[in-house]
Amino acid sequence: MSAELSRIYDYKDDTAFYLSQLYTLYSPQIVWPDQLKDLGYKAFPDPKFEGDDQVYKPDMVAYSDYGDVQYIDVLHIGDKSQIDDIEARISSDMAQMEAYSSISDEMLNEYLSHHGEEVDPQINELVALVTEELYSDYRETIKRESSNSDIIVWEIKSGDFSEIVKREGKHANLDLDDAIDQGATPYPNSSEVLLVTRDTDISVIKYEFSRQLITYCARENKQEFEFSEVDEMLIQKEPPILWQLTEHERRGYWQQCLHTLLNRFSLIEQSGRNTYRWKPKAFINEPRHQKSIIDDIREGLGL
Amino acid sequence: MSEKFTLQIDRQILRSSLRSIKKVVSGDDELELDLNLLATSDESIKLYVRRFSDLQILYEFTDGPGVNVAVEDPWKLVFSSEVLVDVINKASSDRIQLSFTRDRLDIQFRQDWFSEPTSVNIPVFRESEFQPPISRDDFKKVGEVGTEPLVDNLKVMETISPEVEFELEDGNFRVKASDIVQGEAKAIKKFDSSPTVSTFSYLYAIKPIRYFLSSIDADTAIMYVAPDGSLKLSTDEPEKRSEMLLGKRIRTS
Repeated sequence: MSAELSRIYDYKDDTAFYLSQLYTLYSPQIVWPDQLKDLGYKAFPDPKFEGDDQVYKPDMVAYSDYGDVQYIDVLHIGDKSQIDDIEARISSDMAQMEAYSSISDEMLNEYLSHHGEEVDPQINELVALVTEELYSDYRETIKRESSNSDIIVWEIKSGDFSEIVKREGKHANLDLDDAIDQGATPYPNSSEVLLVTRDTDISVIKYEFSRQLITYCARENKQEFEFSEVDEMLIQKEPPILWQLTEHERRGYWQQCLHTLLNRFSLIEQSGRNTYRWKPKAFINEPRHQKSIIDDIREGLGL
Repeated sequence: MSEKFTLQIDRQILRSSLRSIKKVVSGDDELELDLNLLATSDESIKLYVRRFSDLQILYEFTDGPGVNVAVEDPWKLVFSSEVLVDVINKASSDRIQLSFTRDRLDIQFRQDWFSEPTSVNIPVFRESEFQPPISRDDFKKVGEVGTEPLVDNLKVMETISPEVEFELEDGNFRVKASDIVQGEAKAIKKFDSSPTVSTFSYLYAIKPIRYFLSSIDADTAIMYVAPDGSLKLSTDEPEKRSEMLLGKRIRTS
């Protein structure tokens, strides 16, 4: 799966990739040696905490029964040519993480309740997951910011198997501290548990959406569908696209994706209020025809 | 063979009626259309199509400047309309005469130079059974709608959704189209006189309404609504009464 995607766009250089790698250390979906979940940790990618007119969106939240909570951001710079002063960018990205200290216990549990979870927070920790490249090129800046803002730094090293290892700071939970100090190995095919994040290029999300929708409807011979059915149809895939967001948040993405299928690619037409049907040229069950439509979409989206 | 009934009519009147029937019922699809014809002893001929129980478009012709009706025997028949439509479209005379006998349709029209009216005689085939026209007495008048303005608005609304909501509340008539992906559109008209209906809100397909209203010459049509949400639009032109009945759409979302 990830090999296929890396043909489409530079998946390896995307926050979604690193986040998914990290998430495999916590995911209940897979069984893999030395997962942090074995130490009693749970984690949720793309959380959203709301309160006092503010919204906080770290890349991931993790916590254990011990009561220690980690707010984790993936620090990575995709296209370096776009950035004049990388050091300043790293500094500011890390300094901004301090805002997560304002996430109250109530806000945290409000979010966790959507997943049927709750925690009694004893200590909040900030963690920056930095790429191997950034750490080796900008070590001094990262050390400085880590010290200034009290941010624990984990590095993700690439290879046939990645490795996540702690570089700066210390965790309150010694089990966690030891484990990450020695290094943890993510499950390689991490796109199986997390494919896209809320910040992934919308074109990629549209592509995945279209692919899943076309495949599902062709298989089920579903010529027509209502907007309210869309979420359920996309949940069929493993992993469901944007499963980590609330249904309400996903709705906004589906609106955008359908808008593109309706207005830009003209593959669907409206058959009623909030109801859409495949146009005849799109709806053919032959796998080859489906594939060519999906390829056209990919090209049209510039992937 | 004795004629059951005869209709002499301006070709344009008949042509636009047939075209409107086809558009309203089959929209942009190419469907075979069976026309129902009912000639009654009060010297009127009803030409109509029913689609299940949720759509009927009907024209009633009675004597007038452009129309002459003679009914020998009250008669009903249903027939496949393709050939009739083709002949009407292609004949270039101003007036057409249709005579129906038991199982044949005789079309006559005058062509200059020829000594007698050209006669086209076609067998009456049908795909479906005759159905009497839907006739209900539970429609209540809502008000007069301006045909052209409403058609123009509906054209715009169709870019948002193929369905439109007609709503009446406190004398305000609202026309709304909405779609989660495409957006929303609405228009309001305050009716001057209070309608006999108080409050309602129903969803309808836009196309039949738009096509029907476009086929009317009159500036206004009268709108009625029934307790089950069915809509009636009708207008009286000199020799032709036009009427459309449309069932409401049922959606879960």
